[in-house]
Amino acid sequence: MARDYLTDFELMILLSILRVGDEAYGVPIAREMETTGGRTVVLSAVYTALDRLEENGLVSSSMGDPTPERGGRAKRFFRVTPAGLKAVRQTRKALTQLWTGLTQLEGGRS
Amino acid sequence: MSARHPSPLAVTLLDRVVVNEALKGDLVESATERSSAWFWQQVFFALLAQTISGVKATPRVTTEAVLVATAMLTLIGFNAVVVANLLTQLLLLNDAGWILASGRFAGWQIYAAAPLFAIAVLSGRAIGAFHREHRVWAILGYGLSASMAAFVNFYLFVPSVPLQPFIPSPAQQTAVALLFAGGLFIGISSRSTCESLSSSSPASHSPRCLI
Repeated sequence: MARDYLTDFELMILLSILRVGDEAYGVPIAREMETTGGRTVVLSAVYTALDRLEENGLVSSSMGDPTPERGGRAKRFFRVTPAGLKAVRQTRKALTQLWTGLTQLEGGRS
Repeated sequence: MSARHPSPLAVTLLDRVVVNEALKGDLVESATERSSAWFWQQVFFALLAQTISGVKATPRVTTEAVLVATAMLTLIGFNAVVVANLLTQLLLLNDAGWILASGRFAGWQIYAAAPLFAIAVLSGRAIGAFHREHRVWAILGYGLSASMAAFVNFYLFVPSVPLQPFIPSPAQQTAVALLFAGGLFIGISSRSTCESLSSSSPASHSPRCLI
C-alpha cells in the first residue's frame, strides 16, 4: 500500500536526483547524499528505496548502455516524476510548518 | 588500502547472488575510488537486502526452502551417525561373503574423502537441478545419496574386522558430515537458484532470488 508521506531517506534520495539532474544513477546519487547530505550511504539501501519510490510512482527509471568500467553492466537512470515533485513539495511544506514557531530551535547551536 | 581491483571473491559473490545489474555495476564502478573494506561492506549489505527482498517477495517459497533445508540437515545427521552405526551392526552380525570382501582398499582409507566428496557434489548438482519443482524427490534423493556415500566408504575402505567401528570417533563423524554437506552445497550452488524463479516472474529490476 502506497504511503502519502516521505521518509527522510526517501526525501534525501529525491532531492539528490533533482540535484544531479539527467545523469542521476546510483553512483552520483549516493555521492550527492554523502557530500551534501553528510551521511554514509549503503548503495543497496538506496536501490531498495528507489524501487519503492518507483512502485509508488514518485520516480521513473530507464536503463543506459553497458560500459567497460562497470564490468559491462548498464546504468539505471532515475528521474523524479510530477507525483514525486508534488510529494517533495508537500513534505517541505509539512516540515516548514512543524519548524515554524519553535523557540527552542532559534539561535541555539543544538 | 585501495580497491582499484575489487576482490574477485566479492565480485563472484555479487555475480552469483545479486540480480540487480545496475547495483552491481555501481559497486564495481565505485570500487576504483573506495577502500576494499567499503566494497566488502556494500557487498554484504547487497546480499542481505537481496535475501530480505526474496523472503518478502516469496514467503511460501522461503518457508518451503527452510523446511527442505531442515530435512536435509537432519539427513546429514542420518548419514553421519545412523547409517554408519547400522552398517557397523551389519558387519558384526553377518558373515556374508560380500562383507568379507569389504575393505579391499582399506589401506587407502585416508583417500575415502574423495569419493564421498564426489558423490556429494554430483548429488548436490542433481538436487539443484530439480529441487524447486520436486522437493520431496530432492529430499529422497539426498537421503539415497547419503546412504550411498556411507555404503561406498564402508564397502571399499573399512576392513571387516570384528568390532571395527565404521567411523571411530565423534570428531571423524562430524568431519565426514561436514565434508558431505560441503560437497552437497557446492553441487547445489553450481546450479543457479535464480533460473527457475526468473523464468516464472516478469522481468524487473527487483531482486527475485533467494540465497
